[in-house]
Amino acid sequence: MTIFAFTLIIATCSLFAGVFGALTGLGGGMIVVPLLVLYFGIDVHHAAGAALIAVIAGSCAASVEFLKGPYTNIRIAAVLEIATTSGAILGAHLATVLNQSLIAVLFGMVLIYASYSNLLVANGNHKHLSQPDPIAKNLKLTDSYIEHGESISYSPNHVLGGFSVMALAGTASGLLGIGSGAFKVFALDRVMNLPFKVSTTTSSFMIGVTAAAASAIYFSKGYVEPILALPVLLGVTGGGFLGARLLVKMKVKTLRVLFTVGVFVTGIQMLIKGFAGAQ
Amino acid sequence: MDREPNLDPIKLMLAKVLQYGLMTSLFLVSMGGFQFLEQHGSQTVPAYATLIKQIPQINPIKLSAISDGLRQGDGIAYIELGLFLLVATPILRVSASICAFAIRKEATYSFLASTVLVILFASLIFAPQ
Repeated sequence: MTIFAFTLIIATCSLFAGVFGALTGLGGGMIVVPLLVLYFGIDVHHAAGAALIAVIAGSCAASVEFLKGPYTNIRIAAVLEIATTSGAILGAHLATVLNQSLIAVLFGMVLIYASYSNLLVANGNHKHLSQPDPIAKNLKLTDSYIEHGESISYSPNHVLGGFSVMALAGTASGLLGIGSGAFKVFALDRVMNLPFKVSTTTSSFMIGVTAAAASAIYFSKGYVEPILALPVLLGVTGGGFLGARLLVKMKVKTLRVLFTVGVFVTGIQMLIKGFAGAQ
Repeated sequence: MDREPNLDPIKLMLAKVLQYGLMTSLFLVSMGGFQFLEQHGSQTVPAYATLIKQIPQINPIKLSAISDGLRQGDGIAYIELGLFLLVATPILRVSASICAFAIRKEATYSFLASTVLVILFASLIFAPQ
């Protein structure tokens, strides 16, 4: 096969991964890595390197839109980015020393967990349980936005807990080449009790910086192959745009369930691949 | 009118930084991609995994090698420059937010964002060779 044909095939698959990632809310990186590893025989490191690049682009594109709205909280992001970037560096260093089969197994576990929690997602009904965290008060993390002409104010709880989960999310991001949006939203929404829209937009905003912190290590180890990054970056980014449009226009609930089951199956395949010790 | 109070000039400025960084980077990558496929597209390879090992490239990426490649009109050098810019975009965004917080006299946030920037630079400096 010619290089042109190969590039086109990878770009098309990445496009589907981008659409898939947007519709399931899991992000393109999570879908494209197993695709490259399972069906194209590309090693986990190079697949993760290319995906990280696509993850940065996806985060930038989403944030450009989200920042024009009221939900992204750049102060909360500034605090938590300290955790995600540190975690990402740790994760990327781990990726360079860990066995590829082990990384595949971890990837499989993350896919299975993410698809499981994705099916159980609550619909953003918000509960303000405890008193505002004193850290949040000192750092003036309290903010508000106006929705339907009504001012809604919020203040994060459990800042330290959220910070710790963010460090783990960053580690997963650096280790596996994913945005780990699912973990970031978990930290913001469930641990810190922030409104759902604030959680998802702020998570998107932080993903780019997190992936950038990891990618320096991937670059210097030679894991970012321009030839592979080219179709993956353009495909996933294009797919992300398409997916976001589809999300607005279509009723995607059944599709989402179906896709999530697909992600679960992919997780099992990655586990099998890892345990078989292929590579 | 309803949305007016929600618009934050700092956020809009950060959106611009991200938008221009992303657009320039995607442009460079696409341009390099066309050039690369024009130069090598018709070559035959058994699999993508072998292709990655076959095509000579600047790896690990060195800025000096990229500038040489750019002068020679090497498609891969343009892709690599685009990828570099893409990684730099969130870093530029953090730098921009440090300035914005400083102008607003939010010293705590200037400090926190600076910490993030220091971590990002540390990742560049302590990257394994």
